[in-house]
Amino acid sequence: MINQRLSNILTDFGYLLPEVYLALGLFFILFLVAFVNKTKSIVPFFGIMLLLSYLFYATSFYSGLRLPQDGKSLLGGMLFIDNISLFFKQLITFSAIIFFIHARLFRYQYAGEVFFLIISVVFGLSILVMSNHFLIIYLALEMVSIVSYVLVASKKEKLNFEAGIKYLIFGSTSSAIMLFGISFFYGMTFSFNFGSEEFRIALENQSGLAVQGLLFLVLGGFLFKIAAAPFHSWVPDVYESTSTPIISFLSFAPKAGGFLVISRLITANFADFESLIIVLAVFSMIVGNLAALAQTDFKRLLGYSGIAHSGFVLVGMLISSHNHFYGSYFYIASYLLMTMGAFFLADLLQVYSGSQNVEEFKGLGQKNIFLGINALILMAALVGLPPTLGFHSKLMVFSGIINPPSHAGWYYGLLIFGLLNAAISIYYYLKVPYFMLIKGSYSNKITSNVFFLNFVLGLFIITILYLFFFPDDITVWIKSISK
Amino acid sequence: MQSGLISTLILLPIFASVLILVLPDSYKASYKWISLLTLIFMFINLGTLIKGFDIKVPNYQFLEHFEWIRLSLGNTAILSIDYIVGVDGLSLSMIVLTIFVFFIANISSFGIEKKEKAYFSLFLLLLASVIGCFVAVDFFLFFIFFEFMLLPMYFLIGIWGGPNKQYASLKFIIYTLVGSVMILVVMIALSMSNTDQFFTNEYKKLVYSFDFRLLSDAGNLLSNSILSIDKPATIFGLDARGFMFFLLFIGFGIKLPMVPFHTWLPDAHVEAPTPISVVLAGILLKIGGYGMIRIGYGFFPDEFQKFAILIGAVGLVSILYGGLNALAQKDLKKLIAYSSVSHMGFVLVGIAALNKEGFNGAVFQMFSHGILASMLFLVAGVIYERTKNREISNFQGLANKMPIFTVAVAIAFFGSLGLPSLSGFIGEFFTLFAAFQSGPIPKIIPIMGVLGIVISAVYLLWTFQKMFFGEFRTLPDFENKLPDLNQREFLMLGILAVLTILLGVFPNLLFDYLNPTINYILR
Repeated sequence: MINQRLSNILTDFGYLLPEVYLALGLFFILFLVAFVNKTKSIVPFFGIMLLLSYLFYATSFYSGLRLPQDGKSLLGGMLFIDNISLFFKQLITFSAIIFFIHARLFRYQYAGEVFFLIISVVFGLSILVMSNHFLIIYLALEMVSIVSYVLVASKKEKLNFEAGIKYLIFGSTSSAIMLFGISFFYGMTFSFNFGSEEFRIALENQSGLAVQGLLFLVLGGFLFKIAAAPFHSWVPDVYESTSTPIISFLSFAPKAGGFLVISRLITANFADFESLIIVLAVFSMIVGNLAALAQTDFKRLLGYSGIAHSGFVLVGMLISSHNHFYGSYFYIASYLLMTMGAFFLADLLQVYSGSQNVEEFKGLGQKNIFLGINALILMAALVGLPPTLGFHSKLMVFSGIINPPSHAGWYYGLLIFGLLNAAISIYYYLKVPYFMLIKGSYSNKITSNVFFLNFVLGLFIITILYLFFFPDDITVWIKSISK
Repeated sequence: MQSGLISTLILLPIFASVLILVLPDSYKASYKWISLLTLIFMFINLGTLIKGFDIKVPNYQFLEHFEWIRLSLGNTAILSIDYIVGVDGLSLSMIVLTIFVFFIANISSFGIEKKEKAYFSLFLLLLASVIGCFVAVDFFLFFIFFEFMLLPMYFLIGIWGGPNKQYASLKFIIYTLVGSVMILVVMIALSMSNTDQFFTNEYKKLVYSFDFRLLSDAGNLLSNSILSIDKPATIFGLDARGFMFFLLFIGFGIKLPMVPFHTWLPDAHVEAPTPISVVLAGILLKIGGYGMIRIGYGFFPDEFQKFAILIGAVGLVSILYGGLNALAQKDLKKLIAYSSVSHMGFVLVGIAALNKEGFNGAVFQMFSHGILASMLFLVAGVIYERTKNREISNFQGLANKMPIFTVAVAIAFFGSLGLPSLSGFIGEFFTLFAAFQSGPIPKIIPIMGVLGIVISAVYLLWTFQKMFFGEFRTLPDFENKLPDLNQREFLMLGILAVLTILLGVFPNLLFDYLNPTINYILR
């Protein structure tokens, strides 16, 4: 019996080789940071090598596995891998790679620990995206959270500490709320494994309202991660004061992980998610968009816009379990380019104008017309205007709810509400190109040697435009993984 | 046969726009000529198109069809988006108008003296997207061009506009974006309810199509979809198809503009530079009417039947309210902007009549308004460019100083108020005539509509009398600033005046092209 279990555990570990590799690599990086001198250039080098090799290893390893369509449970239900977890691992690792490139290009002098912490986030998220088990999810989420608190406070300035403390307090509160909800679910079902059949059956006899309430508590932890209302209040301060590459990474990777867990909860189908998600989506969109209207700090603005975008992804989570969440996955994949591109732009504009204030961008686009056009395209993508990728992602999300099985009024209300929000959002997104292109300039100190940075920003833009004309490249990618 | 004629019409301005963008600043003076040359090439292209166009064929001609996007939605469905362009009588007449109006606007843009590079490349991008809008035979393609128009227009008003440009451009873009959002909802709903049966069998998956020709065929409707005719879903107490109708009606109505969604128009017009006002009134408003006929009536004919009274009533309110507002304006450009609202109301009345005369009249009215509104805004521009002032009460007896100008203004004003033998008369006459004959709308609408003509006569003649007759008197600063038309202005106003007389005398020039298509749409 015990032998049987042991051998099961050993075989199951065979499925986790890439993560084991990543963990070993992490220890190696930690060793470098701790014991080797001049770690500054060596750590990022090994860090990016580790991420690249992990990306390739995980891709080839998991696509070679030929997993069954509905996934495979490992370690007695603690872990659960399916093909979509690979897709998210790729996205998250990719965003970490962009972080390394971003930090390198703008010559951020991070201590070696920051790189270690970023890869720890990747590790935590890699575990998070392959679990159906509340305990493992909680552990992975805490790993990501605690590392993020440190990352946010890594710059030793007063504002950073304030943001870090806010982040910490909100984060631990929502974790506690989530734990509270999980404990109730455990009490009802005697199981942490929400993907299992007995979990669902045990909940069938419970009062619907109670389950809804508990569900909201459990979702709290993830809503915090995806920065959806009403767990969004940490966003503006953290986004404003954290150094740009870090927040660029944090604005994407933990969100992606959180969304995948939410979609797994929805797939498990143990409760009625419909009304809760509609309320959360509506609330997130309106809170994010209305608050963003008044912002003048570009990064703060992006923070609020992130809240609104989370609302849009949540719309994609509705009734789309039958089409495998294609809309939201597509949105998340395109959001990677859009948000990280926007933060890259923010840093570039900081180099030009020495400020994050939108009004300080006056005339930058006239001096450098390609910078102006790039900013315009990027902002149009965030609004969702054609011809940018953002248009397709909105189209995909909303096409998911166009033929609802019931409650057509709700869904169409949501549809129109969501799209009207997109119309509102044009006001604040266009502020950036407006000041850059329309407002007259005054003398800006042009830092030399930024041509290459413009070029890299151009790569973001070209990808965003290219994927508008050939959006099927993304769906083929998702499909090739989740076949 | 794929001739590529129509794609050339879209691509030429895009290429020219990129060319202007990459040319160094030392070629500044040539930008306007590049732009003009592009339009002349497009005229040649258009000539070939008209020559090869078969009047008797009601359906799309010169079709070009390429597969573009096959977007997988889950494992069971595919969104099929194609690049399909073609023209029928309706779109051909609109393209002719587009190219004429842009040609005039281009000549008028010769006066632009700020950031010429950006101006002309945006101008040409706008041209490309307007043309694309009229020739698209795929809803997705149409929508992309429709939405893409916003950005060039936003910058054209926002950079080159008057003192309050920031407010006006933002108001413009938010209003139109709200409208296009509603159209987007309909677009997604329509395509997700219609399948391309051929490809559905081919791929063994549901293939949703955006092709106009498939969408207008009720046979392609999915029986379990939200828009199915037999058992449509209920949305906010309306059946789904009626709901979609309202979305389209408001969406295109904002663009048209109809009361009460017209308030962006006066602001945008007053702030926009003259050539952009010309384009805005001459062409952009027509996309609203075009969309209402092509997409609104094309896909929801029963709902149009059902709500014809509403459309007619809104049209009537636009005619009267726009006219009364124009009566109260002191600013010449604002007066013209409100007269646009009033005149576009006739388009709605014509559409509401839902018969052959009505649709023909509506399209004719759009065409004629395109010419006349362009003329009117040029007239306002002539005065504004000389004096930087547009207050009607500041000018008197201009006829003594500017006789040729006065003739042009007379043609524009009399055309607008519907003098027979000028094009405005035909449009207004046909729409009202059709409304009298029409089954679905009550007689009171055309009867009150006639009142609209009277109101427009009042404000136009009043303005004409105040500004041009009597002794020459103006503010002391302006006295020496008011020479008669220069050659450029004479050319622009002359072309438009000839066009309006030509169409007024020979309306069949347009009706011959329209009739078969309108019959086909109304079948």
